[in-house]
Amino acid sequence: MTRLKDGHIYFGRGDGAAPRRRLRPLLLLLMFVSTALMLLSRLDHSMLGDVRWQIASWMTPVFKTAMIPVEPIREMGHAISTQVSLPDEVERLRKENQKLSSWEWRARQLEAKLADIEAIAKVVPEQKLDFITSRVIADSSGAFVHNVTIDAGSARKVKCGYPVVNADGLIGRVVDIGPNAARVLLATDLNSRIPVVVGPKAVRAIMAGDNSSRPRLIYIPDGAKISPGDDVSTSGQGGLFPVGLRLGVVAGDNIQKPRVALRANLDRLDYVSVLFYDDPSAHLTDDLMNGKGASDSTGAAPKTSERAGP
Amino acid sequence: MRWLRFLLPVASVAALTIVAILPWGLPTADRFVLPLLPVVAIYCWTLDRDAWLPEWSVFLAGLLLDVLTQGPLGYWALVYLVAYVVAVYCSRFDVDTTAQRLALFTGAIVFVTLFAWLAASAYFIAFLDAEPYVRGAGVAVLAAAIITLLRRVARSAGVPARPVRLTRRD
Repeated sequence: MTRLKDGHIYFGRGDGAAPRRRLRPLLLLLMFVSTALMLLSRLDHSMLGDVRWQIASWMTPVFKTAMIPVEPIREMGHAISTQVSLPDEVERLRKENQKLSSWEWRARQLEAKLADIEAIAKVVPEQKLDFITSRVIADSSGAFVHNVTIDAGSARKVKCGYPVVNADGLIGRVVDIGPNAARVLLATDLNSRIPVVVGPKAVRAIMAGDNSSRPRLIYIPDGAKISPGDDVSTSGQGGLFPVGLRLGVVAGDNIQKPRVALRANLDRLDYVSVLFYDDPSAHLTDDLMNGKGASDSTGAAPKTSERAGP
Repeated sequence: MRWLRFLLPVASVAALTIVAILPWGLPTADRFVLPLLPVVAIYCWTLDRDAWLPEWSVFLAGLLLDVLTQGPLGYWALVYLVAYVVAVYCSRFDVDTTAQRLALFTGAIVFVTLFAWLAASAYFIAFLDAEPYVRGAGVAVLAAAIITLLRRVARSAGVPARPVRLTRRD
């Protein structure tokens, strides 16, 4: 430090004389508030959930704007990673193509046979699901939650509970909805529970997320045989998801605690489709409830339910 | 321009908070580095004596990240405030060389990451997988090294030094 002596007065350089940063009492208060909020979150206070989704909805235009410069960077990163893995990918696709060519022929035969059988049995045709495709504008995957925000909300007729898929299969479902944004709980999230069927024998189980990339299979019936490589798809139980949406295959060496290798790469979600699927049995329950309510209020005898079948 | 002393730090921390939530296509295990980028900014700006980064702005940035990530409210706010405290303590060390600065920076990031892991583990009442945190800290240290070297280059390239203030001493 340079010091100049001028009579009895000493001078020091400004650098040394700059005041040190001090910790203010406000800091302690803010730390206390943060800890209190964490405790409230731990107790799952409902008010916090509503407020945070409101704020996240307001931030949608900011995300949309921020995505404009991000998109080319993402594309560039994607192109580089594709170039790196290109030789392996070409080889894999060649083998897969050979396998699929023989499967295509077999599938056409089976399709024709199935159409004949359905015509004979007068099977009611499957309902076609309507859908919209939306862009992922925010990704909240981390230690606590695995979810993404999409830029389609109630203005596009998206509702809570609707399944969300991409080209590889089911990825999750809508859990929060705003006018122009929706939050999608991914299948890997700690709170995700999806009823599934596993393998050729259609063993029923629940696919439970645990914030890892491979969700667990739980509630498998005793004695049920599950092998690595078995297909996993939605069972439709509970009416939350339609039947037969692809999820992945059974993976892992430890077959006592089986896990599912998802087909969809949840780390790289660009565009996803929201299926407009309402639980058909929910309407049925509503109708029955309304019918019962009406008959109770009028004092008439309750209607007898029609017996199914011929 | 005095307002720049406040605006630049706050704007950069806010911008990095928004960056942390955007879908970059990173694997989930590697995403932890994104919320650590504001930590790097908080450290840099707190050590810069010409800048003013108030603690409430650090708190708000953390709270914004908590809201947007749908994680527990207060988690990132607390982590960022701890980063601020660590930076204030680091500013009291007299370091002269780039290596010392970098070592201090690395120590600060490791400490904040360790705190983040402990806080998350305490929240779940179970020890979480430390790997994502270690990876995140590794990339943040790399970012810190680049920033420290860039600042050194900027200094040696002849960026005008602050004017000398002569202050009266007893």
